[in-house]
Amino acid sequence: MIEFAYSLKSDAKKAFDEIRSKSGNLYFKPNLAVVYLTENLQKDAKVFKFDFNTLCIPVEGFITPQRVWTRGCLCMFMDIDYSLNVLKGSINEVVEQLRNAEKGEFNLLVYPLFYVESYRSSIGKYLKLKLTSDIETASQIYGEMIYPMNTMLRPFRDESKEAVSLNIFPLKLGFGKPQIFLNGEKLGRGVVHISFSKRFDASFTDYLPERGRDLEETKEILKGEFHFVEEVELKKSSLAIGELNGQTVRDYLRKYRVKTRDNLEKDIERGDFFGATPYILLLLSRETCGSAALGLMDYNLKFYPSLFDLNVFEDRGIFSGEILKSGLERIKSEIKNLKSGFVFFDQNLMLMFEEKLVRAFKDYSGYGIITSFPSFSGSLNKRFMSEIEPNIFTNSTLSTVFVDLPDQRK
Amino acid sequence: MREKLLEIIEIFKTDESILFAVIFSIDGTVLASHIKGREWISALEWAEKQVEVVARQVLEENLNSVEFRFEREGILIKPISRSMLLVVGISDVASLYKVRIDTESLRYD
Repeated sequence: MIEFAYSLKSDAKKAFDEIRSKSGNLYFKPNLAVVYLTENLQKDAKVFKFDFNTLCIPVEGFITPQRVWTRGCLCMFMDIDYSLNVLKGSINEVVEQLRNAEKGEFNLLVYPLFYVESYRSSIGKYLKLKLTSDIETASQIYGEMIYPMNTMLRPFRDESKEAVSLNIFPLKLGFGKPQIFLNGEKLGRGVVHISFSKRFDASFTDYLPERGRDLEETKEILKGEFHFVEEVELKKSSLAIGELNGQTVRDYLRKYRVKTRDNLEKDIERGDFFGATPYILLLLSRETCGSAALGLMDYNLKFYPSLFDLNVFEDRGIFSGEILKSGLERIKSEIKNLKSGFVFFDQNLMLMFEEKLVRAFKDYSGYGIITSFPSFSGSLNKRFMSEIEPNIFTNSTLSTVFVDLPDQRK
Repeated sequence: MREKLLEIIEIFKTDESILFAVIFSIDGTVLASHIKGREWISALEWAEKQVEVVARQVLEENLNSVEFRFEREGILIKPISRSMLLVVGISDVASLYKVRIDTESLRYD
């Protein structure tokens, strides 16, 4: 059984008191609460703690029937058969733990996509990145900060178990952020895996046409969907991009007069890092002929970090500007088909459409969150562009997951 | 009705980036209000004058919203019903796109 309660208060104690008081009206006794906290509440996440497992996840906004909010919090109360595990370690260690974990019919992963605990802990890595000329070394250093989106879903894909990943990448990234809390304790760099024995009907969309049967066809489709600039040759490793057409990412962007960022370390330290950009590199999957976008920012980095394991992609890509053609109409037509349930909606769409998004949801009677491009593993009937490995759907823009909740009380 | 309006204002009371939030009727009457501090009274008085000018246009000519951007602060005027306007003053630390989204969600028929 599942029910929702929300508060629009920006004071953590008042917001928690409000949802706790609403929990008193539930018709069941919950054994799990997932609390989605917007920006103002995130620093006080430890306040949100019930006397059963409480997972607090930072989000950019949330959706209630006919409404969209960027303040307050949404709480999902559940009385459900589940197991919850926290996994820590390197990428390989966590993937191994996921492979060995018991997986339910439906699985939820929650983790920070890019995480550095503090300035002190990052200074060594930052210096090594500046000093190294070896892309493999750079990739390994990034591997200490990033859990790549496609890699994390492979254990589920390989066992044909459905999984939704909340790979959290806040719009305002900083040291020690994102702040994911479990039972009042900060997760830090780790992965929460919730395994549900019950199956939920889940679906995915990226609002794009189906991918081509070969890479040439996919490229033509992408050129029609995005603001195409040019094809580029890549020098890359697993988690690092060395060059685009023989230049660093910064020099390449500066060629196009992109001059919006300066010093990454200072921006993160001051909380000025904004985790969205309209400049994207469309990567081409050699496994599926699909594509995923990687946002490009003109920071002064010899090697640019990737949020995906790049080994599944070709050594060429397409530099583009992000635009969703007939954008809002496409979103509306997908939302129209939704039954009441839960939607994990990409935060880039919120930035693109702002208050027009509220009108897109005015006939939607379910709930949801606005978060960083959720990923999905499962078997779907459409050749989605974002299916970059067989049965792994991931992108750093546009991706949206819907989950039907038949036990939700209306 | 008054309770509903106070609930709307309540949403902004605990947000430090909101300088003031006021609901006006179409004739300029203040129906509910919150102001962060006395130093913002003059800004609110200025906003009231703009409401007198734009109220009819916003409500009758279907203007979605009106925004004023200053060096640091901003003022957003938005209809929340056929006869009421919400005026929100925001500081330079507020994210304008967030205020646009939340005020749009406050509209009701």
